[in-house]
Amino acid sequence: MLSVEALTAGYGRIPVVSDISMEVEAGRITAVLGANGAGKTTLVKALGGLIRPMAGRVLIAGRDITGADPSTATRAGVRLLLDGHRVFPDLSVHDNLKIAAITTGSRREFELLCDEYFEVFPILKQKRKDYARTLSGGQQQILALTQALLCQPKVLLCDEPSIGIAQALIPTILKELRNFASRGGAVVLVEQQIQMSLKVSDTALVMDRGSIRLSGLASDLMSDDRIRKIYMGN
Amino acid sequence: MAYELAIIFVRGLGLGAIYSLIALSFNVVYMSSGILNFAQGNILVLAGLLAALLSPPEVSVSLWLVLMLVVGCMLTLAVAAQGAMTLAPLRSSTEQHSWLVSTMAVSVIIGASILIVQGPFAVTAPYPFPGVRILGVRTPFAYLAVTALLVLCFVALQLFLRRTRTGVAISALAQDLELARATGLRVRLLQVVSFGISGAILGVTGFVAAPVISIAPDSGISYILSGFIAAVIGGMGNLYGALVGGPIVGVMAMSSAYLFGGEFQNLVLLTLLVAVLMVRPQGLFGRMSTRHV
Repeated sequence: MLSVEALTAGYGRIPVVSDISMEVEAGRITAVLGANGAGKTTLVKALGGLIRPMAGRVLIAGRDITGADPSTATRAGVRLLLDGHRVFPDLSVHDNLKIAAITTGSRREFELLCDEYFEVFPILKQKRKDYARTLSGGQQQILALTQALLCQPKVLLCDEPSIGIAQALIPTILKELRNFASRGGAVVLVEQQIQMSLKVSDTALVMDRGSIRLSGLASDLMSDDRIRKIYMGN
Repeated sequence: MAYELAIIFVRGLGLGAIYSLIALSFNVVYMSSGILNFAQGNILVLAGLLAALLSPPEVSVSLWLVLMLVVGCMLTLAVAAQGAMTLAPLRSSTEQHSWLVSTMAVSVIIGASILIVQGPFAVTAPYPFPGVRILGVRTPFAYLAVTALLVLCFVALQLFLRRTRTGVAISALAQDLELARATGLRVRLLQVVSFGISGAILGVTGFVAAPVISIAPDSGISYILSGFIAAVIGGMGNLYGALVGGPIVGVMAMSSAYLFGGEFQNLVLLTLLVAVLMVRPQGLFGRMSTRHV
């Protein structure tokens, strides 16, 4: 679904990740693991179009979106869910959803799509008219996730969705990522927590200092001692 | 004394409405892009000049209304084009600041063009409505018209920013630009649209207020200053702030001219600006906000 070929990206002239190649497949959750500063966020930002890659290619279902603006990337089907439960604080929950549904045409279509997610996350329906800033961190993350899903992406890039939210809500969010994958979507899950991420994902890759050090099936990596060594800096 | 007070208030509020409209126009662009369009003063004067050049001496009400729309549309397009050019070289309008120079440059170009076309003298625009008496003060009708325009623009902007998808998206840009990009909003297009809206406000304001503004090559700077102070007093990016800030500046300007003389007007206004920035930097209605770095 999403092919990444020898991607190098960073800020200014300084590369943060270099020579990354990976395949993200439909129907699967791919975990991207790594310690703080490994380059995980830079990688997904480059994939989502928020930073322009310096070299390499990004293809979505065969279409080249290397260096495309996020407005193009999202419409091509790659949507980045930023870290830190970010929503538009001074818009109502409803307005947050409305402007996120960039691919839905009619109002009716939008309402139907919303109703689908209101069933999964009833809290959003309850707080529909409230400002997003009045929501808890976890509720904001649910809103942010729903925003991302509303643009009906093919590939969902999630940057640390478990950070800064109540532990009790993490399973709800992971379950919805699994639902999205089982409907044929591809998920890239960036996380620092090894065990939790490997449990929910199908494949995983481990990054360190800007490159991929290890990759494989999540179930195999679960018992692989090399992950711990990479985290600890060998 | 009562008569002087009446003059200060009636004229001050009328002038204040013009400053409020400039502040509203500042805010629309600032919300979407973080840019302060310093060419706004001269754009307003340009609209006034167009009113003076296009209107025949005995302009009828219907022709006047048509010309108002024409000038409004012309400046909508012109300022949208200015916005597109200002934004073109920028990767991020909040992290790069070449707009400081490019908006100033546009201001200088407009001022110089007016000087070439019109000479250094102020011109007056014909008006189809006679003056009226308010609280015993003879008041040019333009002050009333521009106050009505302020109310209209304020209500229209509120509805636009809250109810329409484009408007809500523009408010979203003001709240979190990076998130707006990740959401897939067409950020540049929305920013150009907001420049266009600002142009519409300035164009119609300059036209409607033409008889009471100074239409001269060097008067843009005083409008930009007063409009900017009005926006800062009210709180940058806040529409209610712009609505209230304008009349405060207008009345202060009139009373300082009366008490100390016209040459001290700007001194008083700048002192007001400094005082507000020291005591309440977010302005009357502004809220502190966090910024992602």
